[in-house]
Amino acid sequence: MIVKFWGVRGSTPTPLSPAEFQVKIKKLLTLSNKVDLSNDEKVDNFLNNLPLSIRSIYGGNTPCVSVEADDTFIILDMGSGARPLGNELMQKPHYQNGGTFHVFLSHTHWDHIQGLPFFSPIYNPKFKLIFYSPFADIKQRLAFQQQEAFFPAKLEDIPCEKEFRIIKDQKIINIDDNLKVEWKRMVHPGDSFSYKITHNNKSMVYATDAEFYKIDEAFMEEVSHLWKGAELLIFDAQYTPEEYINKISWGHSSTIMSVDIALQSESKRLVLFHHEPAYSDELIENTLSRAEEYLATIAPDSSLKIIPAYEGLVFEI
Amino acid sequence: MELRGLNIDVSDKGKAKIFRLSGEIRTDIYSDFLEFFRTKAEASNIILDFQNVKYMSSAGVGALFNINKVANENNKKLVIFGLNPSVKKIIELTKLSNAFVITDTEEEALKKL
Repeated sequence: MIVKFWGVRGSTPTPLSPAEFQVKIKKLLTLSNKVDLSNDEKVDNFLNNLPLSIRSIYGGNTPCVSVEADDTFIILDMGSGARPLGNELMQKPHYQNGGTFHVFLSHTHWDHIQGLPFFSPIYNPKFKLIFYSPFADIKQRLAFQQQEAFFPAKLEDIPCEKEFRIIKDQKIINIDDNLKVEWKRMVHPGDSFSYKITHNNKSMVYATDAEFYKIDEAFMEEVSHLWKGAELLIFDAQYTPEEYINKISWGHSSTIMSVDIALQSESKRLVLFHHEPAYSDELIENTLSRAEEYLATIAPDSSLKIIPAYEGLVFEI
Repeated sequence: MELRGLNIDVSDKGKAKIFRLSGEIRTDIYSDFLEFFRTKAEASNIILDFQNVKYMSSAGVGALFNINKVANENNKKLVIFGLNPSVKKIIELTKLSNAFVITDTEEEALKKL
């Protein structure tokens, strides 16, 4: 499986402001003072050794993650990150004659569906989107955001083929012989759903908009069992612990809570996901350091790796 | 009293109830742990003896924060003593240390009431 991140920010799209951009440039120029940048190789070497918060951005697009497994293409959420994903897919020779995308939405809050109208393959009849959801009214929900009052093109009028599969009574979805998806309801206002994708006996979990608050032993056991040994756990780590305390029941977890869940489920890599829009890139790196320190304190022998999600991040599983 | 992996012994001492905890405060006992102490924090001052708590996840810190809040709302106090270095560090990493009254010894805890 190839997992790629197109949108990693929670709640609302968060483009870098001109002032924030200027701060990055200033830092970069200051750090480059007296560094030999006389050729491309030296420039690349200099940049690659800088923290991502200085040399690039974590990204402001809302959630969208793609998973490619053999010839199957899965899209997890269609936040504003679906727009660059769609544009890239349209450029690929593989899709010049169309294709099918399997879409699993965690839920239908704006930040997880707002990219659908800007996903360019939907305007081409050669493409097909299959939406899978435990929500029985998923078609109506998606059509609602494309009513004329909100968007010029109605969902029913867009030319691609659309299919809606309701999976509320189906815990395991076999997309093909080697690829299955399992879902579990998460704690979030209005509900959200996590998805575990298993391909050739290796699995990854996508669990965003998941608040692990007031959880009981049965829930934790079920989650630990279902997610056990995941190669990759993409988890809602929206808040710092001190901010979380003031936002209990808003439907999100903290960076440190995500470490607890990764340890409990024996996941191998934890991706901190759904970054709070108010957090700067530096703060995201600071929360990563605290999460790593927490891990070293609570489980010094653990081999868990913690990675903050950024646009363009790729894993091969 | 036993919550999965955590023993709790209670005794009265002066103006407080002392709860001696022994074992681990894991994520999955959060709800039971919070519920057990919420009712106690409404009724009396609470001292938590952490000398034999070997492990506490961030969920434990969250529970302590909420118990402390309940105590404050009821004009009661929560004092914690005897944290081992790793549990102490976990509270520090959450940046919530200032929310709690923490002492090294039981005698100091009693004086904070």
